[in-house]
Order: sequence, then C-alpha cells, then structure tokens
Amino acid sequence: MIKIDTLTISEFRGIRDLTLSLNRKNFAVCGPNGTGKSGVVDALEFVLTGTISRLMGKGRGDLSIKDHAAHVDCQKSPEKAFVEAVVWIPSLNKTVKARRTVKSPSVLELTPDSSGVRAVFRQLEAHPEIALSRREIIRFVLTEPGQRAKDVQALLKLDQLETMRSRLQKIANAAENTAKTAKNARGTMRADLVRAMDIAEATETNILEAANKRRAIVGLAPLLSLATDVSLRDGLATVEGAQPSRINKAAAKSDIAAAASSVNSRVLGTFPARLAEARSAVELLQVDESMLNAVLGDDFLKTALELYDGELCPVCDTPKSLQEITTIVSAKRKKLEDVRALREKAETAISPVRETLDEDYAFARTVYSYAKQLLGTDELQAIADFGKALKDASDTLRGFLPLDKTIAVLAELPSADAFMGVLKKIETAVEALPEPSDQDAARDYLLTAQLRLEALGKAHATARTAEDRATKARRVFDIYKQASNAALEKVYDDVQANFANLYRRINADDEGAFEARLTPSYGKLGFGVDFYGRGFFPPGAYHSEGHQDSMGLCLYLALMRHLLGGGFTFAVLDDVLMSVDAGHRREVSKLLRAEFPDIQFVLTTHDKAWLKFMSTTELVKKEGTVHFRKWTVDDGPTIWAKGDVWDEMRNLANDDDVPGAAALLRRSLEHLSAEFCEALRVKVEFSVDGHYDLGDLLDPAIGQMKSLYKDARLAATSWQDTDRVAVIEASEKAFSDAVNEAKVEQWQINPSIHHNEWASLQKSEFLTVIDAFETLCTHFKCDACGDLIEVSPSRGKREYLQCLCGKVKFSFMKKPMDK
Amino acid sequence: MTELDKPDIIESNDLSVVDRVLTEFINAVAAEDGYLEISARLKDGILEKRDFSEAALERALFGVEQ
Repeated sequence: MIKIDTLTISEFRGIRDLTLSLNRKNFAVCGPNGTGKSGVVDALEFVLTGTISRLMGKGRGDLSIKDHAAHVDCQKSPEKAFVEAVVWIPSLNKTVKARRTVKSPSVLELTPDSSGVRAVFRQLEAHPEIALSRREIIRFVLTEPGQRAKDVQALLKLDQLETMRSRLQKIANAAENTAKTAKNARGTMRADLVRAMDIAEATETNILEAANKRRAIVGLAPLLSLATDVSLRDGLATVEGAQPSRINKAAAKSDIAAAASSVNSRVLGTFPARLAEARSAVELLQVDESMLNAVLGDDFLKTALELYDGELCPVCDTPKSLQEITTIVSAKRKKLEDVRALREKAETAISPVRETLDEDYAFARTVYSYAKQLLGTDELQAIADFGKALKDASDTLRGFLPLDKTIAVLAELPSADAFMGVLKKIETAVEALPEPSDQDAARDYLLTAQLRLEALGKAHATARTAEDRATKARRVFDIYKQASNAALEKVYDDVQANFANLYRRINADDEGAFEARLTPSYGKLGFGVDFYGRGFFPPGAYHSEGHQDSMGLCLYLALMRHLLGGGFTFAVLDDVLMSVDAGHRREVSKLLRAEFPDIQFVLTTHDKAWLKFMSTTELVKKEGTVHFRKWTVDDGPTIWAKGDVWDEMRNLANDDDVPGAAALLRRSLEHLSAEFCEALRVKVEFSVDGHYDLGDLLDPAIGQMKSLYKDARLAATSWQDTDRVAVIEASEKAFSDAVNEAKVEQWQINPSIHHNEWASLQKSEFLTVIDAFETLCTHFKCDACGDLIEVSPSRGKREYLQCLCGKVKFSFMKKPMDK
Repeated sequence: MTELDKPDIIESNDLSVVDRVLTEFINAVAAEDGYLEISARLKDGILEKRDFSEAALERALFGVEQ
C-alpha cells in the first residue's frame, strides 16, 4: 500500500514538535518508558487511518480523539494539533503529503490529491491493524476459539465475504419466490384455459382438437398447429369479433363453479391444518416482548443494510464504509440468529396460505367480469370488497410484520359469506341466460379460448424467465459457497504453514520441528501448537510468555501477508517482543529482514539491546533509528543526537541552571557509557534489576579502553610494527589525558548517594566539566567516521579494536613465540 | 470454444484474502457452462468497481436489462 518518507508531528499526544525521516526504510524508535514512543505510533496510525486505537474501542471509557489526541496544552486549539506524512505509494509510484488535524480526524488532506491516492487511503482506513501493540498481537494467540475466529475474521475482513454470501442468498431466495409466484400465476392461467375450453389438459393436441371442433361449426378451416402467429379465432377477424359479445355461458358456469370450489376448500381438506400450523409458527415469535423486540430488531437491521447507499449509515447519516456497517449489523444480527430461524420457519408455513388467498383473489377478478354484466352495484361492491380483503390479507402475510396483524389474518381469513352469496346470484343469472345457438357458442368459445391462451402464453414466458433467473441465482450462490469455503480453507492452511515456518525460523535452536494447526469450524477457530513433539496444545498451555510473544508476531505476520498480499508494505510493531529473550530477538530481526524485505517496519522498544540486534542484523540502519532520552510535558520527547546534548548542557549552565545541566550530564554519561560498554565488550557488575548507574558503567569502560589499547600495543610490538605502536601510543596518551582532564575519579559518584555533586558547582566550574567530559567521550569514537570504536567480533575471541571506516583497526593477535 | 469465448481467468497472486476468494468464485462461475457473461459482469462489478450492493449483484446475475 504505502511507505513513509517523513513524519511530522505537531502538538499531538505527548509530542510538541517532531519530524522523523524514515526514508521508506525500516525505522526504530527506542527510549525508556514514558519518553514519547507511543506518540509516534499514535501519530502514524492517526495520519494513515484517522483513528487512534489507544483512545478508542472497548474499555476506553470517555476517551476520544477530539478531546484527547491534542497535546494537553493544545486541547483548546485542536486545529493546531496535526500529523503530516510524506508517503510513497508503490502501486502508483507517487509521493503525496497526507495531513490530518485533531479538529477533523476524518478529513484527510492530500497533496497532490487524486482518486487513486484516496482509494489507497480508504484501504488504509479499513486496515488499522497495520499498527499493533503487543497486547493486540498476543490476543490472536491467547484467546478462546470463538473470539479468535472473530478477531481473525475481522483482521482478514472476512465479514465482506459473509455480506456477499448473505446478499447472494437473499437474491437467490427472492428469485425463487418470484419464480414460484410466476409459476402459480401460470397454473392459474392454465386452469382458466382448461376450464374455458373444457379440456382435460392444456396440451397442443387437446387445444387444437377442441378449437377445430368449434371452428368447424362456424365454417372455419382447422388449425394445424399452435405456432406463435396462429390465433384460435383466425377467420373471426372483425373488430367486434375481438371480444365475446355476450357472456360465454359455458365458460362462465365453469369459472363460477371453480371459484366456489376454491373458496370452499378453505374449510375442507388439509387447508385448516396448514392454517393452524402457520398461526402457531407465528405465535411462537410473539411469546414474550423480548422475542417480539428481537424480531423487530432483526427486521430493522436487515432493512438498514438494504438501505445502505455505500456512503452514509441510513440510520444516523454518519459516513460509514460497507465493512463498518456490515460489521455492526452482522454482529447484532448474529445475536438474533435463533429468532431468525423461527421467522424463516413461520414464513415457510405462511406461504401456502398466501398462495390460496392469491388464487381466490384471481377468481374474484374473473367473477367480477361476469357480475358486471349480470348484477347490480351492491353485488359488484361485495365482490370488490372481498377481492380487496384478500389482497390486503395476502400483503399482510407477505410483509410478515407487524406480527399481531399477521396473526389476526391467520386467525380470521377474509369472510367469503357475502362473496358466496353473490356467486349464487351470478350462477342463477348465468343459468337464466338463453342457451346460445351452436354457432354463437362456438364463436364465444374461440374468442374466450384465444384470450386465455394469450394470457397463458404471457404467464408462461414470465414464469420461464423467472425460473431461469432463479436457477442462475441459486447456482451462482452454490458456486460461491463452494468456492469461498475451499478458498478459505486454503487460506487457513497457508496461514498455518506460513506461521509455523516463521516460528521455526525464530526458534530453530530448540523447536526446529514445530508445527501448528488452525482448525476452523462454525464460528470458531481452534489454534493448536506442537509442544516438543508431545502433542498439540493451546499456545498458552505450555509455551513460555516469550514463545507466546513470538507466536503472536508470527501469526500476525502470516495473517497480514494473506490479508493484504502484495499490498502488505508497512507495519508498526509497538514493543511487541517484550518477553522474548535476547537470543530469539536476534532471530526475529533476521527473520523480519530476510522474510519481509519489501515491508517498511516501524518498531518501538524500550530495550537498547533489542535496538542493537536490529542494527547488527541490519534490520535498521544507523540513520533509521531515533533514541528518545527524556520527555517533559512542556517539551515532549528529546532525542539523543550527536552534539546537541552538550550544547543543551552549556545552555542550561549559562542560564544559571547548573543543577539542570548537572542532571543532564549525568543522564547523558549513563546513556553513552552504556554504549561504550557494549561496543568495547566491557564486563560490568551484574545488576538484578538491569539498572546501572554512571559509576557502574563509565569506570569499567575507561578501564577497558586502556586495557584494549595496551593489548593492541603489545600485539603490534610483537610484530615489531613500530608505526602502529606509535599510533596506538598516541591514542593511549590522548585518551589518558582526556580521562585526567575530566577528573573522573574526583567526580566518581557513589550510587547510594542521591545528591549529584556537580549540582553544587559554580557555572564556570561546571562548564569546564562539560568540556572535559565531551572531550573524553569523543575519545571513544573514531575522529574520522564518528562511529564508536568497538571490539570485533562482538562475541568470542577478540580480534580487533576498530571503527566503522577502518581508520582505527588494531589487531590483538600477537606474533607466535619462536620455539 | 474459441479463444474469445475462453473465460478470463484472473491470477490470484498478490491479492488480499477477500479478493482471492472472490477471484476463485468468479473463475468458478466462468467455468460453468453458459455462465460466462455472468462471470464477466461479476468481475466488473465486484472486483473492479468494488460494488457489493444487492443492486449491483442483481445486475451482475441477471444483466442490466432487468
């Protein structure tokens, strides 16, 4: 997705003003706790995604970005609190400046702006997991399977796939319902035709035979086929011949009998039992208020998702991505799963009742056309009322909610008494019609038959289209289920293999045969890890905390690789390896460098040793590190940087703040002495709490440097290398002079004494001390490259005292003695 | 089947999990006899236009003329 060139932070969290040059490379932020490292992590997350997870989500109480992301002294001017990042987008090969202010976190300013760049940032906003802390990473490992499934699915954005599944299913279900309705309509039309033509079945042979019989009566030639351009009434082609001039007595009798039979069937056969079953199924959902509310809630959520327009939440009009809104709605609907199952059962039970009502409605329409010619307005109104009641009842059942209305319909279907009374009257009126002549009867027969044949043709075409759609929608849905299940299984297999491989590389020394199993099942994701060949157990069962930390990191990296594919280009790892021991941290550094060469990692740590490993394994370059030494609420973090700390001390002393300058000198020397000790492989008295004072470090470092020069000089002497001996002697002398000048022994501070003796000096005296110690410290470095002089190699037998550029390179190897 | 009729199989390297799953799905639809057009419309709608709405899926399944 992106890589960061520079990051500028202003009045944000604990930071007043800070610019870091990351140069698209790995970058490490090191410093003791409370020096502002997390502010950098928050700033990166904020500018890339518009959020700060530390201030949001579960357990964060009343914290918010708007109120708490600005520096505490800038709370009232949130527009001044901003983060700016110069970002390179590999996929577009573009560099853009992104900026967000605390005042408007969701407003992303881009320079230059373009839709392509915005699309990349939208993707970043959807992936806040690019910045994770140890606590967030370890949750993938140490959590129960149900929660892990949710976390992993959320990380992998699998809810989008679930949304697709439910939408395809909804479309397939709707298409099947439409096809069913169309099929029923076709059945009604076919029944109408069969009754009107008085045939056993609507086959081409039967239709032709019956029509040709009537055509012969009116003197028309027989039809040979029922092609689309053929009409049963061909030859009766006059304007008035298009409609029957009077009621087709035979068809009317048949239609009326069918209508009466349909309405009567409501009290006969299996229908009463079906009706009772439907009513019970619906009433189950109304047993108590909470169930009813759940039904209403589920319906509301379903509608909310359907009304989502791709930008705004349809309920509160706030901007929401599809992923956000589906996550919210799906999580809520998941809780209502039982209710949803009951609802589906009830809707299935209601379906045949509704179909019966629709059939009766169709009959009411047919009967109405006869009544119009035979009866008065009261009877017509009675039929119309019955038809409307049927339609309303069917619509209520289709709508399902509100439940009380559905139950009321099922408890009492529209009364057919008035309709049946009218039906009797029509029957009587039809019976009273004079019998038509054979020719008139044949003519009416052909006209009615043709009208109903055409209606059947249309209904047939509609049903076929609907069936075709239903088939396709169902097939596509089935393919989706199969393909997505298979693809997800493969994803889990790949993640599992990738995770185990990464973990093995870190722990090759003792877990070279490590294996892991990710076992997805409905709503759960089991995670078993091999424990020294003794079987598979949950990660928290037997593995140490350090091993769990590295498991968390490996699982996160494997998941991100699969989540973003080639788009995984940037990740912030916020103190994620707290419990991993030194040896394994080195392996982690090597792993990140070797396995993820194209990814820009920003790593924070409070542990200098971890920083050293990052440096020695070349995970981060020297220029890719920043070392925070202190933090104050007024100034924010202060960075260890070449030179500036000495100027800062002098400035403090010149401002008559000798105590402040003295404290800074002491902290600086502690920091630098630690670096000297590490570079020179100094043996330091062990401290169980890992804390070392200046006296613990500087003296041994000085002693070691003297000893190393001496060893190097003796080695050069053994080779009779007089030039080198001279150079070493000069270095030794310069170093000793600097030590003497600094009067180190005089200022030797007893760790048990709280008071810093420098603090009681006069300004001029203390400025001399600063100069002396600065000079001393420069003698631990090469005057050409400025790098620390160090013993090489860093472990095992000492071979050289050297610097980075090679100007200082003194061998410890002595010439073997002649035998 | 002519060259033009052959399904436009999408390579799934370097895609996100969701896109990989959707790609597998679209390729499987394309392999179904008579479903080439649906597959092409699904590819255009969900993979290229990123439109996962119900209306877009219906258009993909049934064509724009519905």
